[in-house]
Amino acid sequence: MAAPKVAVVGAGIVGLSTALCIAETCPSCSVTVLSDQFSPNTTSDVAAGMLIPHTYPGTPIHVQKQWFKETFTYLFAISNSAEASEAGIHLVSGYQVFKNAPKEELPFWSDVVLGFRPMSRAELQKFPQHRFGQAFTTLKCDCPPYLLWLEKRLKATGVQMYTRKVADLWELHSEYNVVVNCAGIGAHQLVGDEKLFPVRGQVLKVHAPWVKNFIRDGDGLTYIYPGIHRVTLGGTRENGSWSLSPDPGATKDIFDRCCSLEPSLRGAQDIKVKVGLRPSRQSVRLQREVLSQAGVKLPVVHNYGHGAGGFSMHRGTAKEAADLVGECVAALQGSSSRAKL
Amino acid sequence: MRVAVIGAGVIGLSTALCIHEQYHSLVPSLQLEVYADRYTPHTTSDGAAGLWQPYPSDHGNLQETLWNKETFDYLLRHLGSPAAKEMGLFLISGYNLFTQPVPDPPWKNIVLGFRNLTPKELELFPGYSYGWFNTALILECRSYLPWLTNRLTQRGVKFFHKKVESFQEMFAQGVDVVINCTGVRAGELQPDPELQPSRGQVIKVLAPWLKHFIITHDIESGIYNSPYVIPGSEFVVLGGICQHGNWNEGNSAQDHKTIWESCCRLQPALQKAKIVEDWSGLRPTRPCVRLERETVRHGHCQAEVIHNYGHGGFGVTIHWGCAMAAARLFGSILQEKKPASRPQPRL
Repeated sequence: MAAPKVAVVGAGIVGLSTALCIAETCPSCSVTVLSDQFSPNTTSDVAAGMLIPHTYPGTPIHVQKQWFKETFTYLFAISNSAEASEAGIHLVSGYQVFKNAPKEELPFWSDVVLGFRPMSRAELQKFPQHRFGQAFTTLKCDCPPYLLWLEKRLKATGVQMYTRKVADLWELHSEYNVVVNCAGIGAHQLVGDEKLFPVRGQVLKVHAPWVKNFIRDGDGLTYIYPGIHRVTLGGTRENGSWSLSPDPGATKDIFDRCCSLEPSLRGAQDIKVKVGLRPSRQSVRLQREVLSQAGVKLPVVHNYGHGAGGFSMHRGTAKEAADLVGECVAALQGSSSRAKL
Repeated sequence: MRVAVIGAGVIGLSTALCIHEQYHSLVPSLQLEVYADRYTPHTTSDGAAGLWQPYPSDHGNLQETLWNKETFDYLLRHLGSPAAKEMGLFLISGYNLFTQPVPDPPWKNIVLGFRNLTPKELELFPGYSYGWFNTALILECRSYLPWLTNRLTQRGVKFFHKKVESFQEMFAQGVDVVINCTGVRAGELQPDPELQPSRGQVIKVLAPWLKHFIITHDIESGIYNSPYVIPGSEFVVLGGICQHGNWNEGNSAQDHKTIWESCCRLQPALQKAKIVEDWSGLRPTRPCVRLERETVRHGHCQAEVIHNYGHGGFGVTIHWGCAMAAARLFGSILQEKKPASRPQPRL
């Protein structure tokens, strides 16, 4: 087979990083990214991009830890290079505070992030409503910069990107040999996955450049994440809500909750409201499938359903997806050489 | 009672505020005035990054360590207040880097979350094999000095734009107590061979992705002569120059090159930072801070001077502890003037 043609559907963090991994591991492949949305209009652009994992109930912990470690190591190297500012990757330190004792004293990722330790009593005094806390240093991927940097890397390796709404994966069978489904929340309609559901998140992006540390409530609902130019204040977790319209009541509630953690935010300026739908699932769907119609086969690799953990797991799952694409390509080449016989 | 504070940097203005807060209700006749030839944004304090951090060792000077602690605790209390943003006050975490193991600093329990660096963290800083992580505060004087000025103005304190040539000049005008906060130029009012400038230069850049301070240490070069990177609310301050005995307030191209190259080696991403401007200032260095009373003959009378200068590169770090100590000295002056009625200053 001549250069295998691979289509990646989706141009959020999972789609772009998966396309890049495929281009890196399969230099003979011709990779194309197809998406109806590109940065700054993807779900990834709304997220703060903090490397603090979300635990998937349906995926073994050692697998999640491997994905996170891959991702952290990859971004750590970028953050320490001259490209850090262009890629939007930077280190940020801060606190995770709990009103009640956390379920686990040591989350599975505590030895991957830097300097993880319990907060001192003096540090906890700043949070009179919270009784426990963890301090650590992690990485943040600012979007759009990170997505634009990925797009730039893709173009440099010859990957083409087209704005196109794919209604059905099968429509690609005549143009591509392998299809990679990184459609995120779009997979609900694209492949009819009933196990995929939105968890609506509303955030505020504000100008408060004196905020240098992150603060997160262990309940995952209230957080303050300082980015390059803006601080992301969150948030909401609304299971099953498909609405992308900002809710003014939620805006006020988010702002008040964040100000109670960090009073200086009262002076924040230029508040912008954003909404994203976390593509949530019990486990990330990371597997091969073969679609077939009338004897024609189309190998598919699924890589979606990262929910609240897209940034934390993106590189690890992208690499695994690229490996699965490699298996599909090998299988095609095997069958095509058998066909020649 | 007329009190003149000479000097309007962080030391002068904070000492003025501390004295006024403690004594204006006890001394109805108290008239506080500030005299300076330079005001914000043209003082030495304005160029400082404003990071609260004493030297790695106090050489046994427990008094200064205590003043540093009083300042940190005072600022920490203000963090949650609505004034914090206006004061230019915020928390920041960061790294101190060394090429060999060093003892913990005397301020390890003053700052928040002090710990040693892990091997993985040290990977970020090739060439450094040991270090500290902690959370401290930044107090940006280009906001703090105007904030102090507003508080003082609200309290009726008068400001005069004037170069005072001698203490006598003040006493001849009817000033009863002079508070000498003249920093590096204190020697012009009263010779002090122990006071020397330590010239510093910094480059202010735009690098908003940097959220941590990084201070490197080189035993051989000496304090502040090793690169440092301190992110402020608007700019990142790059530095690493400390020239003892150099009075030159102009910027040096050679120093710019030194700072730029060493900081870019430390943080490669800085190569993409946009340079805004250079700034130079003279740290008022002294073996120890001069904080004491002096009784000065003025004709047939005795007049009082309280000296509060020589804070080197740690003026912001120590300012409030010194302001309170100066206020206590002022209290003792008051007690001596009126032995019959004993004012009870709030401590």
